[in-house]
Amino acid sequence: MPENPLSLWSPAFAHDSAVTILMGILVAVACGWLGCWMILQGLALVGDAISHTVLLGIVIAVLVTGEVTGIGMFVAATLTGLVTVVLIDVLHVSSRLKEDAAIGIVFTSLFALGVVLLTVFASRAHIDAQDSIYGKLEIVASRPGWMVGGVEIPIAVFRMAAIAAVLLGLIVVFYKELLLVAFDRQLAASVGMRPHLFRYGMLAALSLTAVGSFEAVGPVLVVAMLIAPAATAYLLTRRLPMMLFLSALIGSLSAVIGYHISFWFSVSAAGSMACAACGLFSLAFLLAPEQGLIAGAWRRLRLRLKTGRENIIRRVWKLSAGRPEIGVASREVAAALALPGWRYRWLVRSLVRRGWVDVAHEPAEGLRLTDGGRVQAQRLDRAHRLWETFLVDTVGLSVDHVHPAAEEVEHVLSEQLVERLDDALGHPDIDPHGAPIPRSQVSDQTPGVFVLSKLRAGDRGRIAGLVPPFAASAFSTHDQGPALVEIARLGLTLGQSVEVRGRAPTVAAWVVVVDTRREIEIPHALADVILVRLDASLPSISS
Amino acid sequence: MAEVWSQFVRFWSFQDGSVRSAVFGVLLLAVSCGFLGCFIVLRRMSLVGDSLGHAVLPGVCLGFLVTGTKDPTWIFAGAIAAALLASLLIAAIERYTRLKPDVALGLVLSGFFGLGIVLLSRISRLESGQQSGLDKLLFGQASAVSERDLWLMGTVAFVIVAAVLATFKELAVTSFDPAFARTIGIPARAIHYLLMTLTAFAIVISIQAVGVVLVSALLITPAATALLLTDRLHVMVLLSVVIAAVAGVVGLNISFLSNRLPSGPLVVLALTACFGMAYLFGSRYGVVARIRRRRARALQTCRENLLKRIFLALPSSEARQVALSSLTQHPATSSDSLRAELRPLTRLGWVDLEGETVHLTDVGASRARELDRNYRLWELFLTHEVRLPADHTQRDAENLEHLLTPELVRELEERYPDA
Repeated sequence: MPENPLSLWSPAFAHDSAVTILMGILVAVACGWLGCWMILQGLALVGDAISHTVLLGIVIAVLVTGEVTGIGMFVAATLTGLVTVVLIDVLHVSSRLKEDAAIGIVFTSLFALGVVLLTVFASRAHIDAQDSIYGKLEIVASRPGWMVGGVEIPIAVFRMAAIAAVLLGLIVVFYKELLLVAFDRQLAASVGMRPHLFRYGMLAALSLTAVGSFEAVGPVLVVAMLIAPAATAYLLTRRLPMMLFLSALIGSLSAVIGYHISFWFSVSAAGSMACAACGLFSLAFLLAPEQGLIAGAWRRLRLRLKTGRENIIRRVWKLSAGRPEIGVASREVAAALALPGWRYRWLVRSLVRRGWVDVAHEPAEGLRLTDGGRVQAQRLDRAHRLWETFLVDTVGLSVDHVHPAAEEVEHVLSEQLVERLDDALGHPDIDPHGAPIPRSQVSDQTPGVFVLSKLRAGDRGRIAGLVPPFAASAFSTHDQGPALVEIARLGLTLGQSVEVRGRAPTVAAWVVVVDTRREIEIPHALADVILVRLDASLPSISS
Repeated sequence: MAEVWSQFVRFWSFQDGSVRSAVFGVLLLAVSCGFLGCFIVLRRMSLVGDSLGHAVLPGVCLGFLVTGTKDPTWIFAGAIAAALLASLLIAAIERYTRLKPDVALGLVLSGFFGLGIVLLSRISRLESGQQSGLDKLLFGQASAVSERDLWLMGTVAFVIVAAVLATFKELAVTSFDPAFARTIGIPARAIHYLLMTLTAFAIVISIQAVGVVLVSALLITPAATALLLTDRLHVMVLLSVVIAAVAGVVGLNISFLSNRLPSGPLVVLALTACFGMAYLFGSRYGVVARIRRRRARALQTCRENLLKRIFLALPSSEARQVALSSLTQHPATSSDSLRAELRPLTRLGWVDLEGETVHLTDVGASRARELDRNYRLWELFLTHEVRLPADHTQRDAENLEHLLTPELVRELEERYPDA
């Protein structure tokens, strides 16, 4: 490493550095935009193939026209790119080979042909076979250029800038079409777009970009700049405009970082750029907020902890036989769940912090559920048993197969999903094993208040009101108007005492006894909106 | 020209030690890559080979940097480590992100290759690096295969062949029907990783001869060529070994004659030539064979349509003769061209042409009845099973009457006994 790490910005190097970085950024931006579409459409490896075979086009153009720059090279290389795609398509459509084998055969053949031509006519071609693989970003700055405001800027940079500008223009003009083709080919085809044309157009644009950046970064590193920034952006966002922006930004960042590395360690600039791009991808792979490896591991860890906590709660609830005031020995719980001591203690501490269990120390260490813990236990029981009911009634599994599945699912079912399930299953009272399914309270804030449809036969209480529209349950959007008319028709009033007799045998309705004497049928839809505050002290009709 | 000839003779007389070891080396590669390539192509993993091929470059460079010389052992170790790391990374990216497999391959390929180029540019600045010959690894130089390389290649080839033969059944089942393989208890994932590891080994021993950029061709092209020639896995494996061997030696030979050309691209081009031949002239799946089959079928259809026209133009069911003029009406044809069209039918012994009368022979009459019957059977099928309206069935039935096989006809007859 040079003594002064910033010497690349000293007057002796500043111009070359700036020009090289500018070129790198232009390549990165053009490739970054194209790359987004490549990876969205599954064209990453076709892109790889094209950027290799463009060599053949360049060699042919140089042999025919005798010059290393110029329009002929662009035409020839773009044509070679298209020929590559057509050959791949033809091979894969007209023979039993799959696309991957077709890509492999076509690109190795055309590339080998390019290398052979290059070696045979080496004296005429003025291209070095080695350099055409590595790319030489460093030499761009020493190429002849045009003066702009007293600074000489190589022609290659202008060319690349033009390519990037054309790409930007095409993206802006065809944004809608490209978006549709990338995400829904069928729809695109059905509204009269031609996905094939867009595919060829895009691959032609790729060939053009590959030629423009060939000398600077070489074919393999074009692939790096195509795929790595776009893939990084893909891990960071789910929105296409953001992805395009991020991809260009990450590509440019790789160009800047790569050039600095190459200067400090005097190594290949193009290679460093590719390494920087892949380094940034690795960072995103590990650290991306939603899709990163660490975020994923953290999510899995949290789920495991939650599962452990909830298993303890359910076990205590079960061992205390539904009477939360009874304590359960820690030893027993830990043994039943086969938890090692340290993990058990850790989980219990977190349960105590949440206020779901109390720990007693006399005579032996024991656990007791608090009110909050009891609510949790019932919530879990409810999810577990409803899922079992679903598996047996709807999916058609046999009763002895559903427990393990429910054991897993109870920890991940959201409360909303459980309520939906309950609704869809018609508010069952018991699960397939015959165990009662706990009712769900309207909310934790109003203990003892239930929706009427979720009460069991024999439950007694007083009518406490109606489910507020669109609030208490997001999924039932009952209009209260007809409900009120119906309530008036049935003669129900606030504070009236009700006792549930059970389901009506034929229709979807509940049979309840109002004011201990009048037996009426309440339709299911109405029972879903009436709130009842349970009160076991009310006189029962049977007494 | 005389010089080229003498070089040619020199090559095939195997006087040169370097020619001997190069040819021997390429044959070993042909065996290893031919064996593995078949499974790789069948499993649609072709581009994994490309990815791993590019990915060994940094490993090779690191192996060189350890000793500062081109010691095959260290280079081999570095390359293997890089290839295995690359395949692990590919698997990790596929598993832990929503990126598609091709993106994972491209990422690993370009990232590793970029690192390789950085290291290579570093090495070329070292004094020992000037003559390292590492740059030859890009496109391969078979003449530089040393005796130690050969031992290594031989060992690896032996391991690969032994491993493939030992797990042949498992490899075959997991390649063709992964779901079935799992149900009968084959550890599909272990087999997959075994194949990846073997591929990494095959690639590492191939880079000396064909170079990192093109090494995938040695895996893909012979196997793809064999796939176009046969339907049997055993035959495919043997064929791909033979193809790889022939193309490898031819490529070497040309490279030797020209004295300047890198061997890798020439071997690849020779392989491509083999593939092109199989693609065009393969007896079953070749383009020419398929065109010929299609043409033969079209001709047969024309002939049989004419036969049916004659049959339907017969004045009564017992009659066997019809005037030529009654056939020229619908569709309108000149009598001369009709005569020309009738010629193949006469050759087949279906009709005899006597002056202005067409005479249907026994063979012709029975074939015509058969066609008519096929037509009606298929029409029945279309109306009954496919439930096409009766006025829509004619064209389909006309196309298919020529194609129905005897088994199919029998089945249709059983289905509609009163037809």
